[in-house]
Amino acid sequence: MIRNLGAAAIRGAADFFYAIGFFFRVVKNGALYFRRGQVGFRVLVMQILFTGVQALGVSAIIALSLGAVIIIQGSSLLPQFGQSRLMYTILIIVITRELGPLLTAFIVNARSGTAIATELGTMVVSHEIEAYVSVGLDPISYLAAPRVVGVTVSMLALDIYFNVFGLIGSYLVARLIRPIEFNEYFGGIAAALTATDIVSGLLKCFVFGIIVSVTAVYRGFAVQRASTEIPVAGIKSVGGGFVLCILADAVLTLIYYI
Amino acid sequence: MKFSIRHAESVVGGFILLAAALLCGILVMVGANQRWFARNYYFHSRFQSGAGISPGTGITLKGFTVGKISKIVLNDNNTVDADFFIFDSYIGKVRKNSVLELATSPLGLGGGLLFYPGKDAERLPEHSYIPSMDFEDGKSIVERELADVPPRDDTLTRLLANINPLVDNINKTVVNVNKTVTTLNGALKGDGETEVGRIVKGIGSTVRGVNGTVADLDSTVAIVKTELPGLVERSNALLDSLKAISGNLEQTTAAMRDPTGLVPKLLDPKGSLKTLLDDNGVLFAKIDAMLSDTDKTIKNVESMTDTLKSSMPEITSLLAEGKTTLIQTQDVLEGLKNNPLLKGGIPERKTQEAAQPGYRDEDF
Amino acid sequence: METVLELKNVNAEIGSYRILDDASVGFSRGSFTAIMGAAGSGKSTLLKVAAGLLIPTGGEVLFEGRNLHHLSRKEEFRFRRESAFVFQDAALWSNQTIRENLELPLKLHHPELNAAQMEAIVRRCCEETGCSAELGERPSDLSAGEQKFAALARALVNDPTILFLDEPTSSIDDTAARKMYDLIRSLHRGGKTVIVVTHSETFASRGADHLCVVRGGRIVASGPYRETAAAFAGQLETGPKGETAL
Repeated sequence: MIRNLGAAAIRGAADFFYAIGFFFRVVKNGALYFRRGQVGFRVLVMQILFTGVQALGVSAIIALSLGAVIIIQGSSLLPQFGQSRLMYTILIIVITRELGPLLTAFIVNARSGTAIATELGTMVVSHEIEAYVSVGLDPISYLAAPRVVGVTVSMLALDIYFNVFGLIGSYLVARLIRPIEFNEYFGGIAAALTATDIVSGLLKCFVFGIIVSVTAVYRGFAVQRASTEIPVAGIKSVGGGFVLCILADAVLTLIYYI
Repeated sequence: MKFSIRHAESVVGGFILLAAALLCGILVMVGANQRWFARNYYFHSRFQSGAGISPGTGITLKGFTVGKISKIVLNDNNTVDADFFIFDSYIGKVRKNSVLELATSPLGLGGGLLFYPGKDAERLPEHSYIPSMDFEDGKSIVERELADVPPRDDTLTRLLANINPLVDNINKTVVNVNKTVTTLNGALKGDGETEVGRIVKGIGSTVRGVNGTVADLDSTVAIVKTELPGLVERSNALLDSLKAISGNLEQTTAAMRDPTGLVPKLLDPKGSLKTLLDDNGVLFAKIDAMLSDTDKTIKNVESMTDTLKSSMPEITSLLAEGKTTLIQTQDVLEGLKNNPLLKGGIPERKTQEAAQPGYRDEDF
Repeated sequence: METVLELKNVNAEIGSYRILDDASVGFSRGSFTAIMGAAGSGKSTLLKVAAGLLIPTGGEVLFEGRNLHHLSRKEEFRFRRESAFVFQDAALWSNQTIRENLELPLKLHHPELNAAQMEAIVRRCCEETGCSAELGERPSDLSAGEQKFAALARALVNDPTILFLDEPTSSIDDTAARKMYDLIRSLHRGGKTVIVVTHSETFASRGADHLCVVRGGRIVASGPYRETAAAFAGQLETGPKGETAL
C-alpha cells in the first residue's frame, strides 16, 4: 500500500510538472504566434469565429439579464438606504470586474473548452496529430497556439461586449419595467466606471482565456488511443477550467485588494 | 457552407474591430469623465493640519468642485504643505488674493476644502502659493475683504430660517389652545357672560389650529432630519407654553370632578350630575383623556428637548410622536365640541377622506 | 549503398508495456523494405519510431548518421520535407478539404509558391496517384480507398525521398490494392526509399528488396527479401486478402 501510495505520488508529481511544462510551452508558443509566418492563421480565424462570434448571443443574453436584474433590484432597494448611487458601483463591480469576466469564462469554457478538448482528442485517436508532426508541423504551435490565442482574444472581445450589453443594453431592458432617466443612468455609470475597473476585467479575461484554452488543449492532447477517452477529456477540460478560473479569480481579486 | 464560415475572416475582423472600437469608446468616456485629457493648473498651499484632506480631496467653490488635492506633506515646521490643481475651466477664478479654507463641520460630518477667489483682477500664475485661512496671511486677506468670501450662509442657518415660521406657527397654536382652555375653564367656573357656544367655537378654531400644526409638523419632520441645535431653545419655549396649558386643564378637571361644582350647574340648571353624564360619561372621559394626552405631550416635548442636544436623528421620531399626541388632542377637543351635551359625540377619524366623497360613502 | 536511416538498440514503451525491445535495423537509400509480423508485434511502432513520430525510451534513430531527436530545428525540418508518412487509416485532416490537406505541407515547406503553382502541384500529385476525389471535398466524404490515395497524394506533394507506409493496402478492395502496389513500386523505381509495413506477402514479394520480420517487439530477422522470406517460409502465410498469419 505504501509502495502504491509512493508510486501514485511520484506519478502525480511527474504529471504536475509535465502540465506546468506544457502550460509554459503553449503560452510561449502563443506569445510568439504573431511573430512567425503562420500557416495556422486559418485555425486562429476559425477559433475566434467559434469561440467569440458564435458565443456572442449567449453572452449578450446573460449580460442583459444580469444587468437588468441589478438595475431593478438596485433601484428598488438602495434608495431606501439613501444609497441610490451605489447601484452604479454594484453594477460595475458585478458586470465589469467580477461576474462579467467569470461568466464569459464559463461560457467559453462550456462551449469552446469542450470543443477543443474533444476535437484534439479525436485528432489524436485518428492519428491526425501524428500526420501534422510527419509533415513538420509542431502540434503545439500549429494546433495549440492558435487555439490559445483565439480563445484569449475571443474572451477579451466577449468581455467588452458583455460590458456593453450589461451596462448599456440592460438599461433598455430595465427601462421597460422601471423608468430611469437616461442622463442620470449614464452619468452615474460614467462617474463610477474607472480605467482600473476596465483593466481589471480585461486582465481577468486574459488570464481566464489562457487557463480555459490551455486546459482544453492539455486534456485533448492527453487522449491516447481510444475514442472512449474523448468525452472524458471534454468533461475534465470543463471541470478543470471552472476550478482553475475560480481560483485565478480569487487570487487576482486578492492581489487587487492587497 | 454557412455564411459565417465562408466569410470567416471578414466576420472575425468585424467582431474584433467592433470590440476594439467599443473599448476605445468606453475608455474615452471614462477618460473624459475623469479628465484624462483636460489640462490642470498646479498651485500649492499650507495648512496647520492635514486632518480632513488627502490626495484626491476636492476643492470647492460655492458648491462646485474646481480642483483637487494632489499631494500633502508634513513639513519640518509641523505644518502641512499641500499641492493641488485647479481644473482648466475654473482657472480664471484663481486670482490674486485667493485663499483656501479647510472647513470642518461642527457636526463631525467631515469637512471640505473651500476656495475663495481674490477680488483682484490679476490672475495668479501656475505654481503660485495660495494662502490658507489657517495662517495669518490668509486671515489678513479675508479681514481686509480682498477675497470673495460669501456670508456664512451655511446649511444650518438655512435650516433654522426654514424652521422659524413653523415653530412660530406651533407657538401660535399653543397660545390658541391655551386661550381656549382658559375660556373653557372660566366657563366651567361660571364666569358671568361666558357662553357654551363661544367655548365650542373656541375649541373648533383650536382644532383647526392643531390640524394646521400637524400638517406643519410633517414638513418639520422632513427638515429636522438634519441637525438643528437651535430647535432646543424654541422647544423650551414651547414646553413653557404647554405647561401653562396643562395648568389650566388641571383646573378644568378639578372643577369638573366636583359634582356639586359649577360645571354641572352651568350645563344643567337643575344641577343634576345624571344629566351631565347622560352621554355615558363620554365628555368626562374625554376631558380626562385630554388632560392625560396633554400631559404626555409635555413629557414628550420635555424629552425632546433633552434628546435634541445629544441625538439629533431622534428628533424625527420624537416629532412624529408629538404629532400623534397632537392628533389625539385634536380628537379630544373635537369630542368636547361634539359632546352630546354640546352637540353629538366624537366622530370616527378618517385618515384620508376624498374631497368629493363617492356614492358608496353616502348613507342610504 | 548508403544507409539513410538506422535504428540502434531501440526500445519503445507505452505506459509500462514495452512494444519494441532492442530493435536494430538499417534502411539504405533507394531501398524498398517490407516490415512484416503478426498483429501487435510492434511493426507500426517500429515504423513510427523510424519516422521520428515516436520518441524511443532507449537507443537511437540515426538520419544520415545523426540522431534524429537531436537535430536542429532546421535539420529536423529538412528531414520532414524529405520524408513522408502514409498512415494505416489515412489520417487526413478531417476539418480541411482535400485541397487544403494537400496544400498545407506545400505551404509549410515551400512558402515561396503562389496559389497557381500550388494548385498545379496538387493536381499533378492527384493525377499521379490516381486520387479521384474532388479537391473541395472533405475526407469524410470519401471512401476508405479514396482516402488512402488522397493520403498518398498528400505524402508526395513535397517530393520526399523517404516514404513510410503503414498498411497501405488495408481496408481497400483488391483492385485498389493492386493499383496501390503498382504505384508504390513505381515510386521506388523513381528512386525513393520505401519502408512499408504490410501483412501482404504478395505485395512484399512483388516489390520489396529487403524484409524485416518483427515478433513480440523484437526484430527477429532483417536482410535481403528473398533470403529472409525463404528463412521464414510457411510463416508468412497469406490470408484471403494476402494477409500473413505470422
